[in-house]
Order: sequence, then structure tokens, then C-alpha cells
Amino acid sequence: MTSLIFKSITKTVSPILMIFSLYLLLRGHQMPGGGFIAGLMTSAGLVLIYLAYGCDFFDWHKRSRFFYYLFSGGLALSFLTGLAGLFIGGTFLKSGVAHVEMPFIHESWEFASAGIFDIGVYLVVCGVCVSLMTLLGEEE
Amino acid sequence: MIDLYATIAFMVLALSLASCFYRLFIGPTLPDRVVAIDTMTTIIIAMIAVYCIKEGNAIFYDAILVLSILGFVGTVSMAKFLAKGRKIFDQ
Repeated sequence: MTSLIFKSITKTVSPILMIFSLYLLLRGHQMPGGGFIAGLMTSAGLVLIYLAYGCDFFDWHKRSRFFYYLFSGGLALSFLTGLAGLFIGGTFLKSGVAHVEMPFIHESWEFASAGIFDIGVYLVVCGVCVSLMTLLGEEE
Repeated sequence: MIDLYATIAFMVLALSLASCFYRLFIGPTLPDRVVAIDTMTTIIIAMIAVYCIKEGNAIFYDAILVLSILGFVGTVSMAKFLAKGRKIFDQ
């Protein structure tokens, strides 16, 4: 029943959405972006795919509860990053920076532990949005 | 000179945003309100673009991309909701 135009648009747009959300996630330390908006973009891409191509995914989700585990795992990851800051640096959520030498391109890469916290936020937002759409779309 | 043009453009865009609010407020049926919200998303995108031109930096162009895609997804799911009720994920 879904129109051919919408299916073609989905085939083109959803890979761009996924790549763009990863880009937003990884550069969110010093530029606009970050975990929240990247998770929102990823869940928008997933919802677009399921709007266009049907809901066989929901049976799989109800059997395995994958997105609930994703949401809880992301929350645990963020919390453990905060605890690591408490035990190593002295304060909760204290961020550490390391400069890592890249192997082939010979450039120093700045690795901040706030990035791991951001990945946790990304997993939380993605899991919550897709589970919400699941609950909204099902039969009463 | 570009400040003057940007101010005029902001005034026109704010006027159209106000008229979209009016349609959203009185709109007799639900599709009217959906179309009003979609138009408001487009107008906000235009406002961000005018602001970027006025300030001379390209840092908010990603916000335009995000807002347009989220508006598209919202409008499509609202259209499927209006067409077939709560089962928006069925084929």
C-alpha cells in the first residue's frame, strides 16, 4: 500500500541519515552535534525504513527486547564512565584527554573520555525513540 | 546593507509564521493543522538560513539538514496515521 515514491526516497535517504548521524556523534566534542541529536537521527532513519517496508521487525523486537537492552546498556555505559571519572580523577563525570599517535598517518589524535559518555547517550536516545514508536504503532 | 535585507526577510518570515499559527489555532480539521506544522518547519529552516547568511558562518547548516529530515519523517507518519489509524507500520 505504501507508494513507490516513498519507497524510493527511503532507499536514498536512510543510508545518508545513518552516515550523517555517525558524523554528528563523532564530531560532537568541539562542534555542534553530540549523542542526543545523533541518536535522534538514527532512530528517524530506522522509523523511516519501518514506515516504508512494514513491521516484521516488531515481532523480532517483542521476542528479543533488543531496544530495551540497548537503552539499559547505554545508560549503564554513561554511568560507568562517570564512576571511572570519580575513581581516577577525583570527581564524578571528570573527563580525561589522551593524545594518541595514529599508526599510518602520523598525526596525533585527541581522545577524550567524554566521547564514551556521548556514545552511551546515543544508545539511550536511539533505544528510547524506537521503543516509543513500537508502543505507539501497535494495536490497542 | 545585508543587515537591512536580513531584517526585512526576518519580518516577512515572522509574518508568515504568525499566519501559520493562526491556521494551527483555528484549523477545523486535523489535516489543516498537520499542513500548518509542516509549513512552520519550512519557515524555521528559512529563518536559520537567513541567520547564517547574516552572521556569515556555516555552523548551523547541519541544523537545517536535521530539521528538514525530522520534519519529513513527522509529516509522513502523520499522513499514514490519518490514512489508516494507529497501525502506521503496516504495509
